[in-house]
Amino acid sequence: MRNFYIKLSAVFPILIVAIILFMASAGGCTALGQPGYITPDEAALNYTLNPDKTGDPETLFFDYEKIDILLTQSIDVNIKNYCLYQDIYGDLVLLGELINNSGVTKTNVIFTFEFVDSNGNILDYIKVPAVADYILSKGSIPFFLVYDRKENYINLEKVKIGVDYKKYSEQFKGNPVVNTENFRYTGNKLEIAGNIINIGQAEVEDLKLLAVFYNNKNQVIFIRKCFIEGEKLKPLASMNFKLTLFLDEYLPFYTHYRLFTFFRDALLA
Amino acid sequence: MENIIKDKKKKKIMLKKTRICLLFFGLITVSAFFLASVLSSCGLFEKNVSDETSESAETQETASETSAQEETVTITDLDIWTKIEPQQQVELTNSIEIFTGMNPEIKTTTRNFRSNEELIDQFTAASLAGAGADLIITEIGSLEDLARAGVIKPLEPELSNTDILKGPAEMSYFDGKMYALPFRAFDFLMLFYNREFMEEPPGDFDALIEYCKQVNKPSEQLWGFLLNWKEPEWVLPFCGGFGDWIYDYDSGSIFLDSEAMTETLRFLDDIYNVRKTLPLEVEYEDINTAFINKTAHMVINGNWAVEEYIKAGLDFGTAQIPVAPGGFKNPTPMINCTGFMFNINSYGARYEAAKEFAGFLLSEEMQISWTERTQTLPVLKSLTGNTAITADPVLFNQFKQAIICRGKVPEDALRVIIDSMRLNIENVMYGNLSPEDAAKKMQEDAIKLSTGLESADGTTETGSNQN
Repeated sequence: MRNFYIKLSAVFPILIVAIILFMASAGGCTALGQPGYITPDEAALNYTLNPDKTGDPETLFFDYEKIDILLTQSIDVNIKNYCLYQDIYGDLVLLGELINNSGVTKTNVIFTFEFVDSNGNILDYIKVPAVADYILSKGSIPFFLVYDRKENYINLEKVKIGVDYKKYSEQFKGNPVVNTENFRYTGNKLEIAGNIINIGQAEVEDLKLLAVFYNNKNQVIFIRKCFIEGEKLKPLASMNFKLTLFLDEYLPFYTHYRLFTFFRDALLA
Repeated sequence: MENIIKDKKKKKIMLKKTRICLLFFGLITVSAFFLASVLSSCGLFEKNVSDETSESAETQETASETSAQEETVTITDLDIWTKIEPQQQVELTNSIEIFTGMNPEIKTTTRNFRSNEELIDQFTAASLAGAGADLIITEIGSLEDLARAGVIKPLEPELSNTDILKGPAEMSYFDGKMYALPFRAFDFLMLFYNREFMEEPPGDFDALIEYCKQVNKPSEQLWGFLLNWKEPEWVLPFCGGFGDWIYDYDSGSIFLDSEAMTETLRFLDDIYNVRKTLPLEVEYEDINTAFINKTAHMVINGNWAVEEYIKAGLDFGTAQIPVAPGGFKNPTPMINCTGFMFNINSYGARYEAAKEFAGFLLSEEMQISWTERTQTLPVLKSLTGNTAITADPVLFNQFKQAIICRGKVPEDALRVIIDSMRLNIENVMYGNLSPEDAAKKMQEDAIKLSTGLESADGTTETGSNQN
């Protein structure tokens, strides 16, 4: 028995060395940093031209610029300044704005997105409510959709954007107006600050302030809700707002922005 | 009985030995696997570290791989990271196939990133750690960050090509050294005209305005020409036409308070407010749609619109933006480009392979092939006379415009320029400021914005959803 242990201990280091060499030559090539191995980050990228690597077939060579956008609109409203791009996560982002050309306020606005393949088959149908309840006459409202069903990307040929709405015959008496007092860049941040003054005759409620960013083609490329101090504003009262935005990779290069308020007259005004 | 007991004891001992053996081998296998993984991840067995040791190891591996071919070839790995559009990715794959066919000793590995920022971040981190791709192909606007971080090489004099278009060339310098080799040019403004209405476009703005006076029918929304003056990028080219520019590429200084800017603003004021030839309230989408619907005979738009107009079935031509009245030359829009940048850690055979690949893609054959298959233009002036370009008038005139373009200003500075210009152009157009004062104010605002000071004095946005 003792002899057996002596023999075994002598063989032990030789075996270790032999196995290490074997593993290094055969299995070592699948270790981190070696060809053939995709790190989680690389896999997340989904893009690779190397046939040795496994890319995500749905998004490999996917060209979102080939997708047509078709608009279904009426005389009353029309969709403008729309844009489709792929964000840093590889998701398709659809943005734009709806213009209310009519003399009547629109409410219950719902945007519809129909994703169609080259054979005319509907791959997907999505309804998205507008970010605010009322769109005043001659006003506009931005919309956006992040479409992340990547399995449909490769067959996607058209996106039909439609809009459903109802008319709201009453005119609002409140009228909040935005005054931007300053904007500045500090490091990689954009800071916009100012105030909202209600120059109308009625108190407003459900007040929202949206910053909409556009590129050089005047296409909507980013929408951000601004922090405001409250949701109600009495006539001639004002409230401050501030927006801080990181100029990071998620924000495409914009050339200008506009601020939009959305509201309704307070019920007890 | 004793024999049976002895046999049982022997069997027990054997069983014990077998178990111990199995345990040992199990332990050995697990520890060996662990060791191998750790050593491999540390790069001990990595093939392609750019030093001589790894190259010799590489040679050994290659020799064993190609022994069947009866001759020993040294395989050089070339790692390329890119951020290019899908069309260009496809073309790059084709080019690599041709290149590796011609150079079987070079094995390329490519990785395309979804965003330029992601590429820059990962490349910087990798390069600082002594690794990263040998070559990156991306928009060369990012070279300043990379050069500051010291992760890309300044180009050797042999790579500095004097044949490169002016705009891309001026973008490729930082701190007096050339860090990027321009590759493909794109995204610049030019004049589009509908050939159903005219054979040749007017040569200067005086003639263009005269044409507009003849054909404009405001009541029917018919226009001879439309300009997107609300976007500063459409106004900037005229500064170049008046003989100056807004940005110094070496120092990064912004120059908005110049005689050229004042002249540009006077020119806009003249055609919109004095001569009242063009409609004031139009935006990009209106202009683009008007050209497609043939209600505008001429527009200034980017070369990105060429495909859209072809798809719309328009019979259109392209030309350089006409000279403004009193201008010295054709306006000079900004142009963007992709280019090659070399990792500071790339040496020896790998660096040579990277240079060879860049040179291959800059060859006439490849430049023309990319022009035919992607929406980008060559960066070599000498290709002006190439038959593939001269045979297509739309392409030829695009290229003529590209030749006189200025380099795209880096994003940080461009943001400041655009913000400073936008408000002050509007002030001139709506009669609130004179062109001279507006030019001065632009420069003041640019200084405030670029130094992080609060800008603009009560800038009022017409912000409700009623506007």
